[in-house]
Amino acid sequence: MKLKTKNGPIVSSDQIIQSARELAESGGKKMVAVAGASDTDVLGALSSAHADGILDATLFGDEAKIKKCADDGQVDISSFKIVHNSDPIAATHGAVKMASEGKADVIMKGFVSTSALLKAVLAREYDLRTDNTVSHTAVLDIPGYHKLFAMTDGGMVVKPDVDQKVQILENAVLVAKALGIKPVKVALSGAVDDSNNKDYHLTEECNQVMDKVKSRKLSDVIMYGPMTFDVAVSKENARLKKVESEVAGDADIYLVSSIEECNIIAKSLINFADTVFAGVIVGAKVPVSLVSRTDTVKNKKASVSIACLVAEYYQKQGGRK
Amino acid sequence: MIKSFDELRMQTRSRINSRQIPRVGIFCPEDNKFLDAAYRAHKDGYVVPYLLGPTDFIKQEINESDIDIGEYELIECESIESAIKTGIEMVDKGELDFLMKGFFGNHKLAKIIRNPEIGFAQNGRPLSHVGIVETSRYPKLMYITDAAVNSTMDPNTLVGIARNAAELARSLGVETPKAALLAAVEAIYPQVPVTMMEAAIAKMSDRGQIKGVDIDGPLSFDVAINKEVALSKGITNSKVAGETDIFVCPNIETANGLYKAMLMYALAESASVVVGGKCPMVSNFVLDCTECVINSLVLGSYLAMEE
Repeated sequence: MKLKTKNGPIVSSDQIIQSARELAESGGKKMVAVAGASDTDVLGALSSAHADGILDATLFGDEAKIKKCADDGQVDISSFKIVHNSDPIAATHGAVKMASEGKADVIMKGFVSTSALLKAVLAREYDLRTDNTVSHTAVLDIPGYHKLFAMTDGGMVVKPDVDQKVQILENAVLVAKALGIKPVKVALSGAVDDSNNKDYHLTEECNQVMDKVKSRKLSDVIMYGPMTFDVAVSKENARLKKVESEVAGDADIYLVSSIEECNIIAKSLINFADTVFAGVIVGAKVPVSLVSRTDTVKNKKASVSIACLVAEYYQKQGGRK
Repeated sequence: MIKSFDELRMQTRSRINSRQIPRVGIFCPEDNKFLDAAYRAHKDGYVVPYLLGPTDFIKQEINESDIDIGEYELIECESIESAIKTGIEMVDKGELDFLMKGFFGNHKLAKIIRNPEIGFAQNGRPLSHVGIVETSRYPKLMYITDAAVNSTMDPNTLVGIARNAAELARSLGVETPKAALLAAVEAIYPQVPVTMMEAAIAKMSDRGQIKGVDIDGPLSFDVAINKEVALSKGITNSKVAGETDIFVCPNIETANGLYKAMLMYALAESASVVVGGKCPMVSNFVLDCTECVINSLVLGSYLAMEE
């Protein structure tokens, strides 16, 4: 079991859930606005998180359908307010508007497509956009690795260019900071570990990304790239390959080069190495939470919990710009 | 169908029964792990090792270890490149049966052997790397490709590496291997180039244009390994989903990360080989343990005895 030191960073999925609970107990309970709440899995995740005292929720969508979903899944939604609207797009806008007015801290994807939801989140009228692209950060709790390992982006940006990589990295750094990680150690993925290897097709891009991140003056970020997965997670492999970097064997974030890379590696760890993950969409002024049907109960709870922690971090910073 | 490295060892021993033990040329093995693996694979009768490289360094490393490999032939080569060149020439002359990369990076190996002048590639075929992974979490061997040789993927290369891996799987008794072209999703989107490329190759397979292997894609990893997930996502008529032998990755970073995630965290064992050349060239990663290097030597020996 990974133990958290006093005032130290969160190092496991259990602690993500525990910290969200403690946050709620100390008066910072978050309100989640659900876009299109007629989704049994989403209702189940919210209900179990609510029962743990982690969050409150407001359900936007078709009231009859929401109640049927709750009945089908034997989910107790009696403590949630339902805002009826039978049109899914209008219901989505209702949830986004609630967040935009500061009455909800997290937006959650229900029975609505990700693209329709993000279109509403990024609509100018709600003023929830930032200068960054929105990206998905998957925070993995891998048994055998001594801390959390965030991979990004396996969900939103298909093939990020240099500027998008910089923005995805910045989004993930804010998630890491919301988990109390400082400094944040970032490995830029690659099939080699030599930042001078001109033959490797991603070396130049890694250098450009690191230069741009440096010019943005992000505090407490240490970067190295390209870096292979095995070096990012093992000091022993770094020693064998003669890689000298503080990031080696101690990476908090693995920034990858394609949606496929992130998705496939993360799924191999989830399916074959008992990894639990917490995922959140970042890049807007409020975090957007989503869970999928194939997620486990714990994984869903960790995902809504991390969204609450990210919302709290933004608010403590005076809002995400 | 060989489902484990234990089985591979048994099959290799039975092949050797009636033949000469295969001779392997090992490039620059100046590291304890490679020397130890060569010693143990030799002692168990799988290979006869020839060590190619700077002999002073190799001797020094031998002296520092407790390994008694005094009887092995050392062939002086001043550099990695000249060791590889010499090894390939010896294969041409029938003095060696297969080759192995020693203590240097896969990236360096790939650069040298892809140069046509070195004479390792065969006409019209790409060279590619296949990592064979055995884990208790999956009922068969996983063939992961390409973690080391081809950095960027066009449709032609992707078809070539799938064919190469299929040929390897058939050598290990998988009659018609099932190859998944991996992606983040199953749906095919014009704006996601990987899904378009993979869908086109899957269509080639459907129409019988790629023989001796069933190919489907795009498939996400969980659909590739789990029939129930496949059905829940509406993938109902795939010959591959849930039963994948070959995991074809859309780029080198994915294959490299997938292979390493399996080795680091899924209690997996492996054997690794570059295929498509004039002989098998086994090629391990730095993180591979001695047991994995021995698996690779056994694999090379098994393949070298193929009729």
